[in-house]
Amino acid sequence: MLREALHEIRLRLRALVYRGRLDRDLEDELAFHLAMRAEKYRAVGLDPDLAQAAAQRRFGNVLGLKEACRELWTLNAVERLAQDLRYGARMLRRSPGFTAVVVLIIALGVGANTAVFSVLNSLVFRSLPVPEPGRLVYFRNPSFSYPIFQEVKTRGTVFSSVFAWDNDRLNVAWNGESAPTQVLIVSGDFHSGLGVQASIGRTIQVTDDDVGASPVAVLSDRFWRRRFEGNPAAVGKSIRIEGLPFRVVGVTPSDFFGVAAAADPEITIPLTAIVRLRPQSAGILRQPTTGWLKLMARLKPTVTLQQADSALQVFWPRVLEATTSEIPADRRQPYLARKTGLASARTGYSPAQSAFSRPLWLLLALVCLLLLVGCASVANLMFARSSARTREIVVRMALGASRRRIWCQLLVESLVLVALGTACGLLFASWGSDALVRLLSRSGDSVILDVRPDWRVFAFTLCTAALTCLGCSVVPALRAARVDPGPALKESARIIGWNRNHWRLARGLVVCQVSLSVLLLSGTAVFARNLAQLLALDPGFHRDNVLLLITDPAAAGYRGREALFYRQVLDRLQRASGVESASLSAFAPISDTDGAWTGSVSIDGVPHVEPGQDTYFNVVSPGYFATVGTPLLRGRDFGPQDNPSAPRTAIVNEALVRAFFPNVHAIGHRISLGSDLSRKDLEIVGIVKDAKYQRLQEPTRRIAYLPYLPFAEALRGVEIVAEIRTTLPAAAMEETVRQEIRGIDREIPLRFETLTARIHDTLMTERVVAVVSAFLGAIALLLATASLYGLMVYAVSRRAGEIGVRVALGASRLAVLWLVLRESILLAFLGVCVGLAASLGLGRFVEGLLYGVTARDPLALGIASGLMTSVATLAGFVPAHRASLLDPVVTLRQE
Amino acid sequence: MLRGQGTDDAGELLPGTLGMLVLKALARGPRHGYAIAEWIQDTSGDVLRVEEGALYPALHRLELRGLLSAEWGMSDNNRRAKYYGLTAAGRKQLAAEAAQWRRLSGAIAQVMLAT
Repeated sequence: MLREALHEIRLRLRALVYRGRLDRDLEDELAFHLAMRAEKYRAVGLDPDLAQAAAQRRFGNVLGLKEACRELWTLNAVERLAQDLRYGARMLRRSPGFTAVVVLIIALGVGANTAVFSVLNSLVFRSLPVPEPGRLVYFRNPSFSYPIFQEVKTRGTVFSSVFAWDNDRLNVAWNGESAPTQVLIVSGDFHSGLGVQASIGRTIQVTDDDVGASPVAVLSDRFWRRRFEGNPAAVGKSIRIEGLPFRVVGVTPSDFFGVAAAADPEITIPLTAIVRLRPQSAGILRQPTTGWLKLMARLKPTVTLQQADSALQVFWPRVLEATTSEIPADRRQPYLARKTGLASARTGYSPAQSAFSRPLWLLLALVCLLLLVGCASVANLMFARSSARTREIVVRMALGASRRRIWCQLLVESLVLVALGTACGLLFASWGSDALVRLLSRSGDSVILDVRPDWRVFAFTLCTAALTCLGCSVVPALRAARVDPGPALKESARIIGWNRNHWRLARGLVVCQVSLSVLLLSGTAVFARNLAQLLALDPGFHRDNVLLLITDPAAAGYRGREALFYRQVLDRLQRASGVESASLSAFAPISDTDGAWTGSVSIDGVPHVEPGQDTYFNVVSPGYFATVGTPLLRGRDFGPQDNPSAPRTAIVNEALVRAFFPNVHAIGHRISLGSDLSRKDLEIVGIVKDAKYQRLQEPTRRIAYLPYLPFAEALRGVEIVAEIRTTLPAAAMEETVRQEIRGIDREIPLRFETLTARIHDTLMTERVVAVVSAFLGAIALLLATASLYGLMVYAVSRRAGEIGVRVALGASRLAVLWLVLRESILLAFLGVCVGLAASLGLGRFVEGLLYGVTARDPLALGIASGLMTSVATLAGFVPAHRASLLDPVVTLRQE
Repeated sequence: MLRGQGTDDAGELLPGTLGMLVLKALARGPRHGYAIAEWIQDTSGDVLRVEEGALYPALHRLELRGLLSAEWGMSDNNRRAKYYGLTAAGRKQLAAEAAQWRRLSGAIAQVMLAT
């Protein structure tokens, strides 16, 4: 049955394509038949001419037969569509300006939507490229300790496997080169649990994760291509991570990017290697309360997410009890109260992705608005055109074309326009999504996202295009086909088709455009104000002229001799020319993705455990506050006296003082790290002004600064940051500083950043949203203004006669000017009102992205509506001015 | 449509039989349209005369349904002619229609011969 249908379709299509041949063949076939018949008649003795006639007679109506056969072969609807398409294409070619503008508007609208959606798609919708991603789940609650992971593994009978991972930036050396690299630290069944096969060699296996197993590493496809030129011989080679050798055993496939989209771990190593990399944190595998692992699991085939979650809720308390049995009862309570739950990980570990996807949803909403403005613009243009073409339509109708036929014709024309626009838009989208990914990338790490379009993107684009087509063509097409040919033919060419309803519709479209543009513009203004607010914010330090140098003593070969390394680095930095002052710290002033060191403190021997109110710690060298420019309010800075043999000291910020010493003089009091009272107390020796710790948007944190030499041990194995305040612009000092440090050792890995760049990076989301919405707002403003201008020009030409009469009767130029201007101001005013109301109503959806301003910020809304009103007035002024210059004699003569 | 010769009102004579007769005509190998018409007429002893205006649409319909294949070739007198042949599907269709026909005509004969 199906084969028959296919056969038929094939034949018909062939007939459609070779229409000429079909006709010729039919001609030949019938001619042959007639000739044979005539010959037969001749053979029985008929005169040749008579034979021919007799054959003809016997055959009957040749033309009718031909027509019947042709009808059989051709697809009528397709033929008619082809005809409409040809006609439409001809009409569009005849007005290239109109075509170009409409195609451009649609391309922008559809392209921008597709671009944002493809980025969002790869973040939010695309499944992990592993077998059966729907069975993957992750554990809510950010992080878990190793003993908890082990316990969940043994008790989790609903899972076919449970695996854990952590990300870290470690120093990796290969073939004599080295660079800080994103390393994924995974449990032994990570790859097998996900179902990832190595493209070369093998993946991490369970035995690799045994304590004491020989250290192995698996490379990502990207790392392998970039660092080993894609040479298969890389497998088997040895690389050094933090100075320790790891044997490369395999390469993961090119589409595998770890468990969170946008993250790009380049090397994967087994969990237990952490013991080797950080000898000081060897206890971490036994520590039940230190959460550092993220957990994921694969459900058994017959188990649903709900079943697994309820099973987990049953055994979870026992997991906590089993792992914390050695902790004294009074401190055990907070741990036992911890909760967790399961969530689907089909698209990856979503907590990491939601941070990225939030601004993207907003952008999608904004580009949707732009598309709407574009649709209104195109509808207006099409509408004007269909009115201008009323005469043509009327003539066709008078000649007998059915309304349906004309309606189809107009729809096909807009279909052609939308198809062209969408095609251009797809080109624009592929460029746009790449640009968006670049915008989302920070200066250091690039975001790796697979934004190649898949079926979801195509479906989305198709839907967008279809809605666009509907939005911008149906109303004008219906209107045009409703024209009554009788009266329309009689009317003059100018007024034709523009009755009251048309006029109202055109004005309504302009008001829509203005209000949508106001909505976009007020968004732009709010986001711009938000960004400005953040940039103007006092972070508690001076951001200019500070160069940050990130280095790693362990990778430089100073493992165990960190103190010596620190002193050498500081000495050389302070000696270098152009350096005002230099210091070291564990975390840079805006630590951002480097994370934070947080914990509870005890004040004068009394533990303070407040959930969500941890104290932030940083380890700094003397001179840190002077270098970054955080004012010391009371007490003293660290100095040489704060050495490992001296009593331990700390400097705290105002927020900590406010929280713990509201009414007393804080200096001289003691704090200690954590609630473990056996640890040594730290005496507060100074108080500094509040400064931002991780990012500008955060609330004021309680921060305790610890002296670096006594805490050198705590810094072992981690990167250290040197802050250098320079007299020249910071970036220009990079080379000098590099020379200076390389004087200690040529192999020291160095990474430079300026403090301004770091702050720039933390404002990425705010900036992207502000920049993109400004771009979109400008386009919307342009489109709305152009539509308004077009409408007013048309209105003036339509009312030229009336204006002529008014002027002839003594109306002043000013009165005429006002007559026209009033109309455009009224339209703009209506649009602005609607737009402002919409902004106020929709504002709460973006509150989460704002800092220091609200979505109802009066200044921002004022700027947006002011801008729109003034541009609209200007757009109305030009035709109004022209109208006021009309010569009544000329216009009246034309009538 | 088939028309029994001499009976003017036989236009509706057994509708649908033309297709079957055409298939039968091609059972021994490809022929062109004229030859098909002639064969049917000759074989039926001039009783069945194919109306030529109906033959070609019927041929084309069968071709579209995939029961016939068509090929251009040279006729005996060196003219370009379109030769129709049975496809496998056509052969199957012929067998089915022939069986149906035998059953039907047998039944009609039985009825008509009944006393």
